[in-house]
Amino acid sequence: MSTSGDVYGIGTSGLLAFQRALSVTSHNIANVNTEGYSRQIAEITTREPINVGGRQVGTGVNINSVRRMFDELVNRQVTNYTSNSSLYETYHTLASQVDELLANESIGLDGSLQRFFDALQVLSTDPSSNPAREGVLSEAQSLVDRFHTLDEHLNDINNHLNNQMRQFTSELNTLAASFADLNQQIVANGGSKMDFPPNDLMDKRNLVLQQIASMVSVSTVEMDDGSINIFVGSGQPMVLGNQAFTLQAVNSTTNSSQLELAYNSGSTQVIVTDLIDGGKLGGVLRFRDEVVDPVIAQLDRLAAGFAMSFNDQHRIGMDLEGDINNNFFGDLTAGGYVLPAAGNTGTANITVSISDSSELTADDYQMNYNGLNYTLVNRSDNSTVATFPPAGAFPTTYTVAGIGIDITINVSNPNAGDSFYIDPDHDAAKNIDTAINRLADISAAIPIRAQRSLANLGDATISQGTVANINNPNLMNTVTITFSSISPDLFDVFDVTAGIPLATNVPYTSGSSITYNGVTIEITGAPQLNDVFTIEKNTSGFGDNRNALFLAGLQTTAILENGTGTYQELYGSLISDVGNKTAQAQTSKIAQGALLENAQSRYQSVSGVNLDEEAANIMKFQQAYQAAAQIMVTANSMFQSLIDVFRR
Amino acid sequence: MRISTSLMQQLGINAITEQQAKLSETQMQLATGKRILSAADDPSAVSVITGLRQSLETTEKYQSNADTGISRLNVEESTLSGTIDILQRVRVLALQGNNDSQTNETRQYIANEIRELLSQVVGVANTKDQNGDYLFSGNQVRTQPFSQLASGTFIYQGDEGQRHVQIGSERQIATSDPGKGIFMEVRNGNGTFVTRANSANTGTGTINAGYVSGSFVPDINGYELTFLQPIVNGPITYEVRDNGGAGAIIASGNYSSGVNISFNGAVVAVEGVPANNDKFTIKMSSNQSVFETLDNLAATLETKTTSDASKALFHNNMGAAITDIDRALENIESYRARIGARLNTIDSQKDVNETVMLQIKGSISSLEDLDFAEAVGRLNLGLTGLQAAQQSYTRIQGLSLFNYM
Repeated sequence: MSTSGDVYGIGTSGLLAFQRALSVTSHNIANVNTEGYSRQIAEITTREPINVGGRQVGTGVNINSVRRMFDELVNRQVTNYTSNSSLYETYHTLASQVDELLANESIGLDGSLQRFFDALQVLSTDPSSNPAREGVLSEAQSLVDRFHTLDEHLNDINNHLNNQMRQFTSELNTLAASFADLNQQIVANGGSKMDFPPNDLMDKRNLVLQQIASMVSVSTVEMDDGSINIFVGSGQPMVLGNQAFTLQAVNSTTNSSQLELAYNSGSTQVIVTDLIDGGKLGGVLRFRDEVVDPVIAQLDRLAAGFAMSFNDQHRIGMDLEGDINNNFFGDLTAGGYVLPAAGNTGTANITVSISDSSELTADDYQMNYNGLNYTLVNRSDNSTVATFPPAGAFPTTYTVAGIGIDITINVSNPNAGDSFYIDPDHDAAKNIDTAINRLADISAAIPIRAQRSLANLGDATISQGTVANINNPNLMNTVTITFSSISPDLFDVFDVTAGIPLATNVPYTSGSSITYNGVTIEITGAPQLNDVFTIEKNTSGFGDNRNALFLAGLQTTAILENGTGTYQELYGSLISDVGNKTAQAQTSKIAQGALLENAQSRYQSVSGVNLDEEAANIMKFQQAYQAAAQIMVTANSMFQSLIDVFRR
Repeated sequence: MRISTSLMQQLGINAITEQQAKLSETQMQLATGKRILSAADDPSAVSVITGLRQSLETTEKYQSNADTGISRLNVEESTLSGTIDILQRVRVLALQGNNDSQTNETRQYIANEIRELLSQVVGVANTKDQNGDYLFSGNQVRTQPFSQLASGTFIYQGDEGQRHVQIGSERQIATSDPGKGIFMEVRNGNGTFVTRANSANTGTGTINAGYVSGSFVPDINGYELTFLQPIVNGPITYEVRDNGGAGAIIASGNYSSGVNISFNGAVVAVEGVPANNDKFTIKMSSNQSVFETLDNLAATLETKTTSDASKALFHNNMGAAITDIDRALENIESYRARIGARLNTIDSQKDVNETVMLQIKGSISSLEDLDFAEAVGRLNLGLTGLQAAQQSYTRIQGLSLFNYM
């Protein structure tokens, strides 16, 4: 009855349109606090005009579409900054924990090292004192306990990171699945190009995208059918249309305490740990890579270097029972960690040991066989350290210059492509331990002493002696030096214990070093004919503190890192390194947080609901509805008038 | 720019939490008095502070080592002081004993006292410290340093070890001296050569200790000074031979009592009337322990003098003993002086350490201590800021168009 051009029709169209507009406004108001909601706008357009007598006449109003206010560019910014901000927040929280751990008075290493050396200082002033020796042993035990505690804490952190990796990948997989599902629903409902696109579904999907972005950095591509594809890492697809792929935390082939990230595509699995970045997952991986791994490596190196260099000094000393060549700490030099790769097909066998505490680095290595030679590669920068031939008599030991390790090839039958992971100081912080627990076993004295005969008529003096080679089997033999001639000054050296002469008619120079049987002494001054000097075992030398002084002096000797760092300096630079990274992470966190806030503000200004604005809209559409209703009333009265005319 | 309702709320809340966080940090700083609450607050400062604290503690250890050294050296010094007192008493007794007014009986009494003093010196030389360690044994602190064999010889059973302690980062100082050097290695005679009268001499010649003029030519077998009086009551001549008396004559001449006889850098004088073929030896000084010196002295005093010749021998031996006592006194004095010098060195080093520690404490304080004035000002500002944020939030949230509909 009513054509589109007549008043009824126009009025109805107005009523319907404004009713619709009001419901859109109500939808906005109801969702003012809904996360991820983009405000919607009803687009009111004029209906198609009709042609009446060659002239166009309006037919009222239409709701052409309900659009959501959404800016793709701003959204992309929010997504990216969410990933970054999340990355640094996670990194910073984790890094602060390690920072506090290392610098903590009761867990950190520094106070313990200081107290150990303080105890050695006390020992040096009274070497035979039992309380002083007790002090050294108890501080040594505290020190190794600290190493163990730190190692445990770092292990706990590794476990925590592993758990986080499992948890995050699981969450990510769930989110990807629901994203794929939403993709499917959106496509089924017509996609994004329709007049009445599935706005709420798209908002929901965008919310899932933001959640994914907070887990990991992603890039997105929108397809024509309205679905969005998500890519991670270096281009691995996470969601393609309605299909989701999964990430998985798997065991590492080189490190039994850490997990790797694997990407599943059908039946193939690829390790992508180094490719994933951004978000919480990226934060965890970066933190492990930049903080945890270096800290563990440095701590292990410190433990191994410290134990070895301290032992080297302790071994040349003599304890209260006259024993020499004993370690103070358990030996950490032999049996470095070697892990043949799972894919090795040859039967070669390699062992590694530490030979020089000063040259030892915190790096770990890979030994590869390419069919011609073994090549040793530094894993931190992939530089080649040395090459070894496969041929020769086995076992053969090579000393690798510059990094302080010996590599022994026990059996060589490798195939090309075989490779071995090498960590010379693996678990040193966990394994460091004291090797002595008796007070008398601390070697505070030096094994030999020297004196001049009371019958000497000359004025020459002899130094107390130093050990040139502790492994010389005749080190503690009694040796006499007798001056057989004056002007020229010549002396004879005789080993009394072995009963054999060692040298005769040696020219004498005051102050120059004389070494026999691994002992070095100096004679200074003017000797007389027949003067005798004796070098002998330091029996009953309970008051001798010479080695205690050396041991205490190790604290201030730059003995590690090629002679550039003391133990405490090395630990200090470790703390400093972590502190710097934590501070940097905090700065980045704040900066990225500010960028994210900015982006979110822009997003809100496009998509956010403003209640005052919607209130104004309500009034507007309400008025318009009332006006349209009035049209109906007018149209009705017009019709009534017409009817009244015909009734007469 | 268009602002959504939720953004407005979020901004308001953010402002409040930010103010709260800053306020909380300021409060923590004020409560601890430290500017740095965690290592990340200022990593380079924390690194410097850690290093400074290590230096501080290590220097404190050096100070404590220095104190240990001082107390050990003081003990040693007072022991040596006591020994010097004893030896000076011995010297007085020796001079007394050498006087011709003494009789054999009175000399015996003096000898008794000297033996008593000898055992005191041995006791002092075998002193133990408060831990029960022997002071003068070198490093063999549980071995008694000095004892006397059945044959009467005094022996040293310690070694030449000398303990050092670390009193500065590059400074060690000796805090002990082996007893060998103090008590055993005393050169007899005048320090370069020693004169002795032959016990078979029948004349009354007494020889002095002599002195060095120019450069003494040492002879491993010593020199022998022989007096000759071939004609009874005739002139007395002397001759000096080297190589223990078997060598050539290197000096000779007429004897005149008290006149110097010089040869090869040695200048000696004889007084009295030596008999024909009386001999005196001039040998290189050798080690003669303090104990041996006192023992010789007592033995000399115990010898009964009967003839003129025995009186001459007595005076020769007393003269030698007094000379040897002087050498012993000198030797011990020199060790005392060394201890004094070491104590001075330790005091200086302690002063240096003290200054260094003060500087370090100042540096640590300047790096980590809070500037209270600034922090309190910041606290007030923060309180105002928080109040403002909170009040503005409540007031703005209340405004809505819906209130007017």
